[in-house]
Amino acid sequence: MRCMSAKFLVCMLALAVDCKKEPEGGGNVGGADTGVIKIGEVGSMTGTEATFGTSSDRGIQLAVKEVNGAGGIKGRQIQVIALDDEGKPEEAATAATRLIASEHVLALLGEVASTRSLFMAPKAQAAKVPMVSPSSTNEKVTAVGDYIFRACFIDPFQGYVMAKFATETLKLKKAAILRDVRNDYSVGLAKVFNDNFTKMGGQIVDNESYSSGDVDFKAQLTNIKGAAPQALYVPGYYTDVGLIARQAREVGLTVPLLGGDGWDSEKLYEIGGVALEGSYFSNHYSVDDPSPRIQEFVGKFKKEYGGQVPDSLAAQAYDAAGMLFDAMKRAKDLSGPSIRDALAQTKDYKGVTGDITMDDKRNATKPAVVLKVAKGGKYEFSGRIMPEGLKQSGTEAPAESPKKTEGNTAPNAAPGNVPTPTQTPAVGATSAAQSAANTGQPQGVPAGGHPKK
Amino acid sequence: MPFFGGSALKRTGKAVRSWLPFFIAIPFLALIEQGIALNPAFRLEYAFQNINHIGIAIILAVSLNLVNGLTGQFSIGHAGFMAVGGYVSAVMLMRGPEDDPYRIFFVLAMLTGAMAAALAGWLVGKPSLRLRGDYLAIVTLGFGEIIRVIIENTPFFGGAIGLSPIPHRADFAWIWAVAIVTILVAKRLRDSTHGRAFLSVREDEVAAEAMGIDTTGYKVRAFVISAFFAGVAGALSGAFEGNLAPQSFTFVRSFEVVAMVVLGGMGSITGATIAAAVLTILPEYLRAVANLRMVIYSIALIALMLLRPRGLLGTREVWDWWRKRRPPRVPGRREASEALIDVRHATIRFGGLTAVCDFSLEIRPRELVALIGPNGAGKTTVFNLLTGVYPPSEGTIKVLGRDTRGLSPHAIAHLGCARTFQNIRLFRELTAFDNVRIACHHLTHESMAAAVRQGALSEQEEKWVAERSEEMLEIMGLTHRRNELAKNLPYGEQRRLEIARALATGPQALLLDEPAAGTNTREKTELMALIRSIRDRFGVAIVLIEHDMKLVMGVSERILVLDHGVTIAQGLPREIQSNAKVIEAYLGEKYAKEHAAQIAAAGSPR
Repeated sequence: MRCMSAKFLVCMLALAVDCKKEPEGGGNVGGADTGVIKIGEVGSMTGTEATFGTSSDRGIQLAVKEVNGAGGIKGRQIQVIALDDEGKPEEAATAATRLIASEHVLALLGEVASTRSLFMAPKAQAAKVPMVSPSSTNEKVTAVGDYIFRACFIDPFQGYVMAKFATETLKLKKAAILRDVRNDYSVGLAKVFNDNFTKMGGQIVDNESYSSGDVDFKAQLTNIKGAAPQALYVPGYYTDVGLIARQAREVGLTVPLLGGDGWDSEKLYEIGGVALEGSYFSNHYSVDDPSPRIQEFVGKFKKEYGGQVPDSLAAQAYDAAGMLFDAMKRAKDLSGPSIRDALAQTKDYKGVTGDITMDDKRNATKPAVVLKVAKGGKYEFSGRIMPEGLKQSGTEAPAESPKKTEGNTAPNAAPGNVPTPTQTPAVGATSAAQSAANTGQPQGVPAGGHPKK
Repeated sequence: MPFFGGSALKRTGKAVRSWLPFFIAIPFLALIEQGIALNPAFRLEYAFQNINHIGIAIILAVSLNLVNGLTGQFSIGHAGFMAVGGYVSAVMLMRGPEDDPYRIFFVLAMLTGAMAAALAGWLVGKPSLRLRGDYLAIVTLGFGEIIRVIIENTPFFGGAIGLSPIPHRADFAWIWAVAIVTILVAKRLRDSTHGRAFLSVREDEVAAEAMGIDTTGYKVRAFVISAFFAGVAGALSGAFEGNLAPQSFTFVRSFEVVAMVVLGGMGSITGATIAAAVLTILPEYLRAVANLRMVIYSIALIALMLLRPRGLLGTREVWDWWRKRRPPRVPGRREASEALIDVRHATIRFGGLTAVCDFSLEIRPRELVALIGPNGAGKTTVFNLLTGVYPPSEGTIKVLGRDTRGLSPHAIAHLGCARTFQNIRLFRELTAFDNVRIACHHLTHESMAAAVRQGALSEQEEKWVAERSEEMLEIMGLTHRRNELAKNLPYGEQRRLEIARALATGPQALLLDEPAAGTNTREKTELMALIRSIRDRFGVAIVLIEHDMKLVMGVSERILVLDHGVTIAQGLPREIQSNAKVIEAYLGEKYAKEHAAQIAAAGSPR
């Protein structure tokens, strides 16, 4: 007995010590000039959010395969070391530390969820190892330090996107807003929408609010109906939005609803049903996007993974990895500071989710897509909105641009499109709060492509 | 040393010894921390990340062990208390001074968080710990989830994204200093009379109450202390990672801690410590195998539990192997004063069934009274009434002149009424010695804080308790069984141990429920002598439930006969033996004939 516990102690110590006697080689400073280049990846490969981690991993592996096939970077091959964090914040911090301290990676990719990125970021920052999050949309993530980047847009951008879509594509003049006051994400989107819609010549006829978790919205909806808007902007989460949509129809408010990526869940249609048909929300990516870049990526991805359709997490991870490799090619050497500088100078990187430019806060500036909720709960690609200042054909109206909203069934949305239940078993079961928690997006916003899609 | 009185010197020595582990540990911890600070190029960062996580896991496991292991309750909301402590302290730290070189503000924030967690523990524990069984599990599970959901939906606490950046205040030295404090507090509590009170609750709540242990009070205390340390762990975790997120405090986290306690061995502090380390390191080492990681982890956990179903260390401790036995000392004892039980017209009904009807009984000091009657006559129910297990539906019961209505069993035990049980209720997993020591609990005065400091009073009392317990074991002829687990004793000795335990509470009245059941004739004769000698030696009154007529007639001075809850006869043994009603209801004609001669000869005992 005594001997047994002694063994445990010895074992434990051995484990701890083992981490210390890592080989001397591979130190990251300057990146010794030969051998493979090690890149670390942290993701939730297991746990309740396993789909997030595995989707991202597939996107990254595809990008690695391509860059290695094309001769690698500075003549060296890339090796990605992927560690699982089980969806737990502390584990993400430990995994990042392990990659930096024991594996001596030159850069980090991950995490999907903002919360876990926030746990990783201080480690990367302290060790001066550049970190690129593919899809953490919360503003705080890149604020941790100048070595932290992201390959996705931040939340408030979506308010601009929807304002632009409403005025230019839907040609609306009057809109109302119903925002969740308890949720920074919702309040932020509502404010940006309000400012931009007004600036673009529209008029906000009513500005109402609710608190997430409310179940009765009829008072606000009746007020809104009285103001006679042409659309209602509801940048909340899918659970509340589903109920709001149904009650809106009950009080006779028939205009389309508009929203953000907080809507993005297969649960949305389960809750809201037909009441949601003809509504629009902004998102990060759509497989139906006719852009040749996206279709080429979808083709490659399907070929690599046996017909699996890439979700937006895969696409964003693919872009994050591609953006990092691009910066490493441009960097004068492979030291942390050099890669960091090159990343910061990223301009018009041709990612599948659009042209990516880093702003001075290390956030990606890139286009967003607008999806329409069609009959049966399918999401149809309805347009692509460029960031302010970047011009490139403002809104590329897709083939069947929505003219009429109500009851307009889009014929064939690409098969395998949005709701691909097979792909998201674990997520479907989460409640709004849980899912908010799970992703830890800004106050829980499903990062680009979250539960399901 | 002329300037120091002997006692002052001794006191100083005690104080030094009480804090000795810290004096030794802190320079080491500080030195190692300095070492990490110099750590070139992050090399040791990963090792210390893990070592720090182990430290936090140890604090959690050892504190939960107080509730789930020592006290035998089942709490699965430890992560909730951790969250309370973590968030309260993080909110303070984020609004606190920029720089905190001596960590004074950090300690303040940590203690505030811990107090908040302890308060939450009290609020949750106070109502739910009165209940037994699974209720606590459900309540704590609910509590943990509620806390997490509240945090998720409160912008002040950062919502779902969590709080960041929290000033980085805790590192290796802090985490491990607190881990050592936690282990020391747990160890010292466990070794004190309070620790034995915790254990008695785990082993048998009814028996514990009968021995004078306030079981609800001790459950709440264990729960609050445990919540306090969970809060400390939360505060450390936040100040170490620089982040707090509600996703860290799901029920999965609570279950991980429960797994550590179970794997370590329920109640073993060192076991919990080792299990915390193993279960933190194991998944870390399996991280590279990604998808199989949790599968291997689970299989390893199952395998360990199959190999050691009672946990790595069972209920033992690493330090038990080199602990010296206390030398036995000269006995000391409490004098019995006027003892009296006075029952007037007590009736108890269970639904429509009247178990005992209009029962009156007066027990005078040093009296030896037997309660007899057929099975189901209500004899044990009378004991349960006397000891407060049930309140009477009608009538009054006074123990030592005090009405027992509204008093719980432990309070009645404090008044001086101790009992044994028909179906032996020893603390089976504890040694004979500990069984008796627990019964001395209510005679001690030391506070929990004193127990943790291991002050002079503690030591004196511990000695006194040990002596008293040795004496009780000796009287009952169990000295040779001192260190054996109660469950391993032969049946007759278990009965005697129960009597020793009841005696140790220092009763005025001792209620023995079938002490001779299952013993042979020779043992019965010995028992008769023993009962008399106990009465003579301790001056207690003894009430005896017994079926063995020889024993009853031989030892008792007065007999009371119950049948179907009704007192059918009362009087001297000789009168009872010839009472027609008693013969019809209980003794039978055969007995009366066979013993007619003997009855005449024996007469009344003394």
